Amino acid sequence: MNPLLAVESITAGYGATIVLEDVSLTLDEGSACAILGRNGVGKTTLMSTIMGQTTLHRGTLGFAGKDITGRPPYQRARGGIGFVPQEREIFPSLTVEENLTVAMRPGVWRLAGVYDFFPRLAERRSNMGNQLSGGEQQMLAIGRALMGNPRLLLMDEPLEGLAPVIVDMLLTSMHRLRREAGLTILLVEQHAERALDLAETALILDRGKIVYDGDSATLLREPERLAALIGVGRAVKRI
Amino acid sequence: MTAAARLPQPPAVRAVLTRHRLRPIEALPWVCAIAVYYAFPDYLALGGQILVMTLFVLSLDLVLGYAGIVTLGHAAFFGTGAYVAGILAVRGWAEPLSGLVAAGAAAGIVGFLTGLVVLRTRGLTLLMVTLVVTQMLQEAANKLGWLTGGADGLQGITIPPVLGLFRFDMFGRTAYLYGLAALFIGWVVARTIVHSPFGRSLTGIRENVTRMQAIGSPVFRRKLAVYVVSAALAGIAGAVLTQTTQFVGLQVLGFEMSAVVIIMLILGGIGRLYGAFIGAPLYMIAQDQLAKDDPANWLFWIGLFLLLVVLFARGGVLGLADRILPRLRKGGDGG
Repeated sequence: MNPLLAVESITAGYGATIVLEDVSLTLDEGSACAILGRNGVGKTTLMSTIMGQTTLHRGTLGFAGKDITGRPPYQRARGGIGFVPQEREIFPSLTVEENLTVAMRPGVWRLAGVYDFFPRLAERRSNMGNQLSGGEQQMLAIGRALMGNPRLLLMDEPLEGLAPVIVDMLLTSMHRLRREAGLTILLVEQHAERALDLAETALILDRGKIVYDGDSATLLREPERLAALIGVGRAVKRI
Repeated sequence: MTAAARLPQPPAVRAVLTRHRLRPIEALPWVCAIAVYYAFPDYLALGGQILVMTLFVLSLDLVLGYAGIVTLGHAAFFGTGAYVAGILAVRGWAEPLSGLVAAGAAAGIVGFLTGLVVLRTRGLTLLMVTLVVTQMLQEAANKLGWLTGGADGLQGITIPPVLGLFRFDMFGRTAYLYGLAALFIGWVVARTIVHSPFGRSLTGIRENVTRMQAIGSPVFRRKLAVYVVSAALAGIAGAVLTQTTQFVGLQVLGFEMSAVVIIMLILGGIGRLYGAFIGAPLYMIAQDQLAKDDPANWLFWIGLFLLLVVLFARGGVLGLADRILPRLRKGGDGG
């Protein structure tokens, strides 16, 4: 079976500045991959490059059997890539409902479905985008990505800065998205154990290059190796 | 599981719907406009010009207020419409309504062609490019004297009665109502756009272009579409001015025209559809009064006023109302 996403030896960055060097990865439909690494190693850049928001210097991107290298971001989104950005980027002067409907594309995910998935958003539907808590914003950012009916969901640190109870709730939602909706997920996450728990494969970046590409389980069994690779001592304690 | 989502639906849906439904307050500008017609018959010439400028400001609000395209060259479309209506009338096609349509179409075409280039830029570059487009058109109008009358302006325009019934009288009565009708149609168009999904996507584009692209919105095409509609509306405003004053001069394509229309929008309130209905009358009535009372320094007073608005009333008069009205209501409740 062809992979859903095929990133082949891309070198990318912002203008002349190169952030990622010779990075490759493939994702099969229905799978999930965690991208780990210290701050500033290029995790977000990898996400943005898949979405087409950076300068691609070399390499190719394939999605659902098509070459999407050089395609503008909106065509990638329409092709089935959903992106939940780190900053959430809710439109402040649209209501919750308008934030969702503005991203609507035909498919199984509709307004009612998103409200079912995040009942909190249904309660908040007439609130303006700037009148939401951090957790609600994150639900809305995910809901908005779902409204585009993606096959692949890119999530950039969706749990960052949220209260533990919201983190648990969102993690449950993300597991449901995989299990019930069969979404393919690419997840950037600071907390290694959460990400490795959700995704069966992992990719560790360091200074723009891949230093680990393999099973999550292997990493979970070898916490010292994981700690060395992502360069965070506390990861050992957490696991 | 659907029951949970359905329960809160009816009141919430209504709340969302009422945002689009006509509220009684929206009748206010029209009531005022008609009241002015009967109450101030001596001021209808000024009133007609205010209506023209209101339509022009409204068209700018679509691109600047909603889509966030900060242009310094909206006079290009106003002027195109004004000249097309004038030239048509001089060359034998004087029927006003078809003239309006032709002027709107011509301005829309100019909007499309220049938008293809202009909208690929942003920020300071966009500001300069829009300025350049307008200056080039003005210079073209200046040089093509055989067609446009050059620096003397286009003279000898005579417009037959509207629909063959309503003659443009010297008191400006027909002109006023003609302008009001054009403004009303422009308002219906703008309001429909603003509350449509397309309008929502414009707000999204203004607030976060990258995000709109990432959720699948063809940003450039959307911007071009609203730019063309806005240009056409501005062109119609220009054409109404030509037809009602029976004259076109180079100032319709001037930098001052582009700047004044922005000032009016800032005064009224940007991105709220009704800023035009406050900013244009406020500016033009103030200008009229100040020019009478203090002809040497009237521009100073306008400048001072603008300074105060920018310093203390961000969001213009409507923004100020937003902040004061809730306080008044609270005060009434004793809190």
